[in-house]
Amino acid sequence: MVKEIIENIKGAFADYIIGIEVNKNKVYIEVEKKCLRPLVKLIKTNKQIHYVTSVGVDERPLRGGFRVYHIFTSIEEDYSIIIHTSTPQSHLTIPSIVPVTPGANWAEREIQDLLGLKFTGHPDPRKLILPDDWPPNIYPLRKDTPYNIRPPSKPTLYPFKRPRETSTLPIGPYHPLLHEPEYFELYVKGEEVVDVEYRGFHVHRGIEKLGESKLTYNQIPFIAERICGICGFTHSTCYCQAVEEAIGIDVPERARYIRSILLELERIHSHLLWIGVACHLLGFDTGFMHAWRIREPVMQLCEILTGNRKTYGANLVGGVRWDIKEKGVKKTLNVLSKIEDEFKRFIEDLMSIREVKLRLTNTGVLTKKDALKMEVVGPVLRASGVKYDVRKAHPYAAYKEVSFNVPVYSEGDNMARLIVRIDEVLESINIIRELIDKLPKGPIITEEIEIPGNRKGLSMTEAPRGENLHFIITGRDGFIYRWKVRAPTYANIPALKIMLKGCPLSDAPITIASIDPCFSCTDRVKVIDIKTKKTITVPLMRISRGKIW
Amino acid sequence: MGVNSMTINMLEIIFQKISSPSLLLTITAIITSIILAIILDGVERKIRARIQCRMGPPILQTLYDLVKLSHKEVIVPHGASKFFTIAPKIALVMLIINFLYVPYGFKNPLGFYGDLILFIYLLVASTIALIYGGLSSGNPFSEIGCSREVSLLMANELAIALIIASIAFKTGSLSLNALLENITLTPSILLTIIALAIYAYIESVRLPFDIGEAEPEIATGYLIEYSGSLLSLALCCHIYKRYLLMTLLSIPIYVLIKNIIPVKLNIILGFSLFIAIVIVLYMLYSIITSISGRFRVIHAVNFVRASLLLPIASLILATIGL
Amino acid sequence: MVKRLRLISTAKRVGVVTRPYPFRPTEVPEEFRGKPIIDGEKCTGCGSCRNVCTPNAIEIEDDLEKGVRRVKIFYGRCIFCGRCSDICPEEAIKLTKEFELASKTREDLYQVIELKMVKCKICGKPFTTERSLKKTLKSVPEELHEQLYICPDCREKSTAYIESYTKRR
Repeated sequence: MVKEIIENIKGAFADYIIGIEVNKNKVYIEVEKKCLRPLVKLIKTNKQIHYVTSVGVDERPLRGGFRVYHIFTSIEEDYSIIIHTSTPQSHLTIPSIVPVTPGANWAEREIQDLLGLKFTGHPDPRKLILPDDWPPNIYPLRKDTPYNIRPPSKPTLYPFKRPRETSTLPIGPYHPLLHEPEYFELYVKGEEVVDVEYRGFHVHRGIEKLGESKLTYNQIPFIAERICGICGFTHSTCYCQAVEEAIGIDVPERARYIRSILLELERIHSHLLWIGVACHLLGFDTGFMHAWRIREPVMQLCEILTGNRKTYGANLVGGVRWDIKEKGVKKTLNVLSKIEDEFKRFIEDLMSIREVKLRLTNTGVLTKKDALKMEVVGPVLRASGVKYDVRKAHPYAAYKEVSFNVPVYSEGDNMARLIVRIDEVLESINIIRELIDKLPKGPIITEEIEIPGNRKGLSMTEAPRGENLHFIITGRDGFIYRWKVRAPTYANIPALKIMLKGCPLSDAPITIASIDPCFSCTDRVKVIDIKTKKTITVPLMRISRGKIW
Repeated sequence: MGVNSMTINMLEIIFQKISSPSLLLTITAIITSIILAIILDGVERKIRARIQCRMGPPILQTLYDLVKLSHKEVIVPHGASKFFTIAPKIALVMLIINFLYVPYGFKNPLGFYGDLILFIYLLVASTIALIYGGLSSGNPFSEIGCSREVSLLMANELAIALIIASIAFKTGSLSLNALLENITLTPSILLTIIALAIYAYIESVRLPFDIGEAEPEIATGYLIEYSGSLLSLALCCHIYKRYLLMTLLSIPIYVLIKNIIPVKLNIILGFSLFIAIVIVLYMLYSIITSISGRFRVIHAVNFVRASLLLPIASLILATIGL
Repeated sequence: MVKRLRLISTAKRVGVVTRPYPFRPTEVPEEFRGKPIIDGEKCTGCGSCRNVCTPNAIEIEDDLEKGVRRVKIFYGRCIFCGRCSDICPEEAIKLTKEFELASKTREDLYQVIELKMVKCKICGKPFTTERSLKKTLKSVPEELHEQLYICPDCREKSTAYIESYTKRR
C-alpha cells in the first residue's frame, strides 16, 4: 500500500521532487515547498496514513536555510514517509499543511515559536510554547542562540478566543493550589461545557536545545529518561533506537529483550498509577490507595533489576548496561504472579462501585472520526475503535518475537479508556512472561561505536500514553545536530476540545485525566458561564465534586 | 419571715436538683461527649486508613490538629464581612447547646417539652451559619460551592421534618426524653429509624455525599478562607455535628435494645450502653464512607428524593396506628 | 453494595503496607544505586570517571604548586547513574547504598581525594600521580623505566632531538 502511495507521488509530483532517500523502512522525500499542500493532501487520502509530527531544523551552518520535515507513518504497515522541504534564510515562509491535516496545528506553531518560520495559511498562528513575555525575534532553537540565554522580559497579552458574552476575572495559572502549572479555560452554558482553551508549556525545559549544545551522544539517554516523570525509559529507548538506526548498528538480541522487559514493566506501573489517580478524582480514595499498593511491588522489582525505582539509567546507544540474572528472573516471575491476582481482584471490586461506573459511562465521548481527524494516539485512539499500537505496526526491540493482543473498544467514553488500560496491564504481564521464557544468551551492548555526521534516524515506541517519537540528525565529533521529541500527550491534548463539548461540568476533570496527561490533574480550570457572564477560576478537584453552581 | 422561708425553700429545691444523681451524670456525660467526639473522629481516620492498607494518623491526631490550629494566625480576607469571624463561634455555641439536651441513656433533667424541635433547629442552624460564614468571605470558590451544597441539604431537611412528624405521632410528645419511654418495635418506628439513619448519613457530609461541604482533610468549599483558630472552631463544628447526629440516631436504637435485654439497667449502665451504641454506629458509618466513591450532584439529589419514601411511609403508618 | 465489602476483607488480608520511615530506618536492596565513594587507596587519578560522568559532577584538577592531583565529586550534580563505577579500571569508585544526603552546608556534598604527583626529572613539573606511575612500571620492561620519570612534553622533545640527530647523521 505504502509503496503504491510513493509511486503515486512520484508520478503526480515528478517535477517538484528533489530527491528520495530510503533508509530501511523510512522513505525521505525532498520536495519544493510550493507543492507541499497538494502532496500532503494526496498522502492523507489514504486512511492508513497517520500524521505524527513536524520537525524544524536550522541548517544554516550546514547548507544554508531552514528545513522542515513532516513525518507520516502507516497504521497498518511498517513504513514511514517523511516529506521534507527547505527554505532559504531570505524567505522564511512555508505553506502550512494544517488545512489538509488538522493534527499539524501544534507542531507548526512550535516551529514558528522556536525557529521563526512563518506558515502561510495556518488558521491559528498564536504563540504556543514561548511565554507571554518573551521578546520577539529571539528564537531559542536557532543555532546562533546560546542554550543559556536569558532574554529581557517584554510582556504581552495572549489573545484568548473567547465565545461572545463573557467578561474576565483574571486568576492566572500560577497559584498555590496547583500541583503543576497548566491552564485550561472552560466555557460553560449552565451545566454543559461548550468550549475549552488550553495554555501549557510552563515547564518547558529546553531539553532539545541542551541535547544539541552541551551533551554527548551517550549523555543524552540519561536526560531523555528525565523528560517524563513516569515513562522515562520509553524516551531513552526511543532515542537510543533513533541513533542506532541513524548510524546503522545492530543491537544484540539479549539487549533488545531486556529493553522490552523493562518497557513492559514501565507500562504496568504507569497504568496502575493512572487507575489510582482516576479513582481519586472520582472521590474513591480507597481505590487510589489500593491501586498504588498493587503498584509498589513493581517499583521494588525495578529497583532490584536496575538500581532505581524510576530512572533506570539502563540504556546506552548500542545496548543496555545491566543484565537480568537468575535472581532477577525469579523475582520478576514472583512479583508478576502476585500482581496479577491482586489486580484482577481489585478491578472486580472497582467495577462493583456504582458511583464509579455512573460517572465514567458516556462522558467525554470521542468518536472514531474525530479521533482520526485529530491524530490522537495511544489508549485514547484504541478506545475510539482504531487498532493502532506501535508495538504491532512498527515492531521495535523484541516485540516481533512475542505474541499479544491489542485491546480495542469502540465506545470512546471514559469507561472505554479505563478498560483499555486495564486490559493492557494484563497483556503486559503475559508479554513479560513470554519474554523471560525466550530470553537468549549473549552480549548486552555493542562496544565500539562511531557516529558519522549528517545521518538521520527516526524511532517510534509505544509509551504507556501512546506513540512516542524521537528524530535525530547526527552532527560532528559525536554530537547530535538536531533532536526532536514528540511525546504522546502532545497529540492528545488538542482532542480535549472535542471530548469536553457537551460534557457535564463535574465530569470535566475525569475527562481531562482520561487522556492520561503527564501533569497531575488537580489543576486550575477557568469556568466561564456564558449566560451569567461570570468568570471564576476553580481547582479541578472541586469541579469533580460538582461544586459549581 | 415569709420571704425568708420562700427563699430557703427555693434554695432547697435548687440544691436538691443540683445534687440529683441524674444531673451529675448528665454533666459527666456532656463532658465525656465533648471529648469523645474528637477521639471518634480520630478513630474514623484510623479506620479509613486501615481499609486503605496504611497506618493512619494516631487516634488523638484530630485533637493535635485543633490545638495546633488554635494558635496559628487568623487571616481575614479583605472583602469579608463581619459575619465571617462570628459565624464559626455562633455555630459552635449552637452545637454545644445541643449537647445539653440529649438523653444519654436516662432521662435528662434539663430536657423540656419541645426540645426535639430545638435540637434539630440548632443542628441545621449551625450548618447554615457556617455556610453563610463561608459565603461572606468574599471568595468566589465559596460562592459556587455553597449554593449546590445548600440545595442538597434543603432536600434533606424535608426528610427530618417528616421524621419528626412521625415520631410526634407515635410518642405523642415533642421532647427527646419522651423517646425513652414510648419507642416500641412497630413497623412505623422501624421505618423511622432507617429513615433517620439515612438522614444522619447524608447530613454528616461523608462520601458519597460530600459534594458541597468539605471533609476536614481537604478544606475547600466554604472552609477555604478560614485559618488559624477560626478554622479550628469550624472543624470542631463538623466533628460535633457528626457526633450529635449519631446520638440522635442512637436514642431509638438504645431503647429497642434496652427493651429486648432481660436485665434492668440502672442509670450508669444505661449511660454506658448508650455510649457504646454511639461508638459502634460511628464506626459503622466510617466503614461505609471508606468504601464509597463520590456521587455526581444529580445522582445525590435523586438519591435523597428517593429516600423520602421512607419517612413518608413511616408517617402514614404512624397515623394509622401501626 | 454487598460486593464492595470485599474491599474490607482485602484490607484485612493484606494488612498495613506503609512503613514508619523516617522514625525507623528503611532498607534498600543490594542493587540500589546510592552515593558513589572513591577509595583513596586505589584511585590512580586517570580521569576515566571524569570523562564518562553524565552530569559532569567529577572534576580533576592539578595543583602544580603542591604537586597534588585533586579528584572531586560533587553530589549536588550527581545523578547516581553509576557510569563512573562501570568504567573505573581500578574499581576504586563504587556506589554505596547511602541515599540520605541532605545537608545544610554545600561542603558536605563534596568528596575530595588528593593524590601525590611525580615530578619530571628534566623540567620539574608534576605530570602524573605516583600510583599511576607504579602501575605503569609493572607493565613496562626494565630498560625503559627511566624514561617513565620524564614528562610527556620533555619526552617528545628528547625523542624529536634523537630522531632529528639520527636523520642528520
